Amino acid sequence: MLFDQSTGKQTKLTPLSQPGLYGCSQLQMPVLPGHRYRLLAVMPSKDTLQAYCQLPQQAARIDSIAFGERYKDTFSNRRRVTLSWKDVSEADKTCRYFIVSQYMFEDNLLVNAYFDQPVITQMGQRLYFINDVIDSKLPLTFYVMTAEPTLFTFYALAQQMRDISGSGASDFFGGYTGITPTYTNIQNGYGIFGGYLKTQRQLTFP
Amino acid sequence: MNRFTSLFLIALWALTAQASAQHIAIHCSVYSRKTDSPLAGASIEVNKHRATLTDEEGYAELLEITPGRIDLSVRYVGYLVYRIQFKATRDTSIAIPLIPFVQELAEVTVTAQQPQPISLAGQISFSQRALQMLPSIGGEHDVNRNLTLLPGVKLANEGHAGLYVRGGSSDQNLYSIQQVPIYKYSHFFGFLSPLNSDVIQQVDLYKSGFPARFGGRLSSVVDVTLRSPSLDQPKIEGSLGILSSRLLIEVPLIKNRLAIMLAARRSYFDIFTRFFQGSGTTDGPHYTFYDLNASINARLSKTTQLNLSAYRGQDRLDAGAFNKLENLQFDQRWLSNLAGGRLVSQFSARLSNILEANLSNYELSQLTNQQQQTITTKNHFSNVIKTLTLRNTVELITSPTHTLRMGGQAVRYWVEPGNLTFSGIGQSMNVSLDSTRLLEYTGFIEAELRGKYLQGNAGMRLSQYGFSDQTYGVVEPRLRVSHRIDSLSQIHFSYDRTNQVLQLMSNTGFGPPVELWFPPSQVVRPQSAHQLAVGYSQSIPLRFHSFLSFSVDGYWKTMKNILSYRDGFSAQDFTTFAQNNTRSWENLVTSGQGQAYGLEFQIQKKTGRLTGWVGYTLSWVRHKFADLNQGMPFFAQHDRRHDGTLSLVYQLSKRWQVSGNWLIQSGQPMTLPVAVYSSPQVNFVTGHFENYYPNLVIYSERNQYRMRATHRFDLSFQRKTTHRWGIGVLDLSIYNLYNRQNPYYYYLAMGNQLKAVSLFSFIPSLSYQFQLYLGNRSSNTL
Repeated sequence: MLFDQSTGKQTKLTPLSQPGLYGCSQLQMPVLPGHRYRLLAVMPSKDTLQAYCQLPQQAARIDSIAFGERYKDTFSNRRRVTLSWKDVSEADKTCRYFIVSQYMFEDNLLVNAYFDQPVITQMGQRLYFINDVIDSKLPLTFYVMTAEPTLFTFYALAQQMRDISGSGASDFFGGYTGITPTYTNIQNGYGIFGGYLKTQRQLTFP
Repeated sequence: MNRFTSLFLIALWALTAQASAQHIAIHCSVYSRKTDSPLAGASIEVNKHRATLTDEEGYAELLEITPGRIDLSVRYVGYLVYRIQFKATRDTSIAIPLIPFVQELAEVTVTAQQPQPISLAGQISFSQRALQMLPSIGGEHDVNRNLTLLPGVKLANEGHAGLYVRGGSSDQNLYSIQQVPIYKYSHFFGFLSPLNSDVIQQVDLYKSGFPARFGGRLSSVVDVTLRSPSLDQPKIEGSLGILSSRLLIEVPLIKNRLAIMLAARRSYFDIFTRFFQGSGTTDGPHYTFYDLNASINARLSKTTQLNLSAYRGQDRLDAGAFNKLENLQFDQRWLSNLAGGRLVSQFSARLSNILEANLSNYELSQLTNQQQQTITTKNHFSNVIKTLTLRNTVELITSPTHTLRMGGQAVRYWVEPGNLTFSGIGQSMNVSLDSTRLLEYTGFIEAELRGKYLQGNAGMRLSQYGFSDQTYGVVEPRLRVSHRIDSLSQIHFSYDRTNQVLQLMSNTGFGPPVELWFPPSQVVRPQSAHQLAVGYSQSIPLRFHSFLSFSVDGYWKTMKNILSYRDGFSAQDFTTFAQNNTRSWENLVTSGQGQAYGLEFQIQKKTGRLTGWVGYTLSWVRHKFADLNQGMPFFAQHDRRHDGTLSLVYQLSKRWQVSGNWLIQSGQPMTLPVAVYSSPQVNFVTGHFENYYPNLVIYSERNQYRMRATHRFDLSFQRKTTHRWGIGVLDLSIYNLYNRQNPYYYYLAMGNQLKAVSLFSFIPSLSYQFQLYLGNRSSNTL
């Protein structure tokens, strides 16, 4: 069961295509800024799973998107793109940000997600995301996901775990500097229950 | 004042109040009649059954002497034997001028039965001569490496800096050079000491029983005394090696008044790595270190001496990656600068005063420079700590067996945990994070007893420090007592209360060490500890007047407010302009408690052709943090259940010496994956689950497993040669003789196979030490 504790609304999650996965649509339970949600899973002869999440009060707004001159690397033409937006953290609640970009092909979607912290640079209240992207005539959309910190921490740790599992110790200079413990906010279980707010800006290179 | 404190004051009073009514003391000051300089290490014998050696100031005292006729003789290499007979009915001070003789003698070996002195609880001392007798590594008789061979002292895994004393962490050691604290006390990622062994006069390690004059750290004191430059003759000595070279020069500027010592050391690693650099797309990594020492010794009058000293040490690691599109450079430096002055005034035979002022700076800096096309971004981070100390100590010899020492100090700390500069994106920015100034006032008093059957030091240290408009006070009672049961055995006891204002955070991974010093705050409180230690030592007579010394010590230590990074955080979260860079460092760390206890055993042979020791430590170190490991206690990363060492030196002949170290210790605790699971991937744009990560892992409890045991054998051969120009020693040493692949870290390879990576395998090295004859040959130390 999923509860919106801010409105008292509740809905039952239904099985999805993969075995063991349950979900609901935003029509059944809209994700709204500042709302607090509760997840409850009751299983016969098992401990009850329970978790809470509190969404950020507002989504970050991309207020500047700039790109540089075209240059050529080994495989393709590229441009450097810089996004900037204002931090919307509250005094006692820190917001964290994911960046996702995608090109819209005719019938295909290419998505890049960036979770690592260093690619987002913060100077004062402003945050910057710099990336070199393929110079294409296709529309390029950038999404800034304003996430609650637990969700971000989970994905950052999951990224570290994948790094350890996959490439192990290849990054000597410190991408990974400590053993990553299991991180969860699920009572009696493992995983994460979190939410994020999405804003987007589209860009087309000349 | 609590009851515990009162008990210590009573003990302190009792130690000072005892009087010696039936015996007298003889105070001797031995100096060269030719140069007026004090003679350290001169042998003084009274009535043919009491003997002692002079200290570095040429001073010695013989206690518990029966009044009456005194038959006193003094011996020193290169000088005529001095004999005097006199009658003494009360405490007597005598100045003894020794006359040098010019005849050069053949080398002789002297074996004598020395009275077994009472050893002090928790304290181990090495003189420079003793250091030279210890096995060398790469031609260096390295202090830190040899300290780690002692029971109760451990080095972290290869590649990690720091000493770990009786369960304490690497920041809990007060490492001082001429009483000036040094914040980074190693070179080459902890492999070598911060200064070259030539400049060292003596090293005192206190594992417990800390005199009250020392404070500011929880677990140990390593007090390095530099040798005083000779006032009467110049000296040049040094070493040429394939890993590093060093040079020391002593020059009397005004004979018998003013002398200067300059010493320098530099490693060659970077030269080798640049020489063998290919034409690829990476540059390095290159590593180098150097250290410089300077010391000026001025005799202002017969009773006043001034010593000025300075030290600078730097480690640097740089690397780069470049291609047609990108040029990336990384440069990390650890820099220490020390300067100090020490004015010693001897007002009378019983009263002296030491006034000290010193500066100690430490800076860690990281520079990342990325150039891509015409766009350049720079990220510079620095962590800085500066301390200014002013200290005065008065020493009063109240009776032949009692000394009272009291003093006070004021310390000003400037701590800048982080200074970040970023330039790029058409703008630049500089941010100073949590910069703090802290003022600490300390007063201390020590009462020292040196009786025939009982020795002790009771003291009290009171400190007050203020920050953020608040003032805090700490009371630190200290006590150590050694009791001689009979002529061959003794027992020890000590209690220490210690506090530590400054906090060090080190990364625990395998990357280059990033040690960040932080000030205390409203959230992160100063660390504190209690330590109780008891010990028993026994001398076992052997043939030819030599002894075996056996000792066993037990300790129990509790620590409060120790720090650790929170799960998922590391130094990188503080050193870069990442998303959280405006957040306080306090959010990256969490504080907890520690508990350490263990037993230390040592059998040592100090005289004869074969010298050395066997040591073994059985110990436990547990930490407990509310925010880590779900609040359950876990073994600290430096916990080692078993730690054994064997250190031997054998004098093959007059010229040849062979030495070896073998050490073995339990593996380092570590956290490992215990289960594999699959997880779906979320498409953040659509909000749908898409792909599966099939091989994600769940980790064990923190530090639930251990790496495999570490052991290795180091071997060193030395051949001494004499020439017209001086003395030379050729040193061939081999680190890790049987090429043991000791684990540095583990990782999960393909197929969920656990693999270990090792750092230092078989490393041979060759060096040549030399000492030039520029004056009296008898003063050579090689």
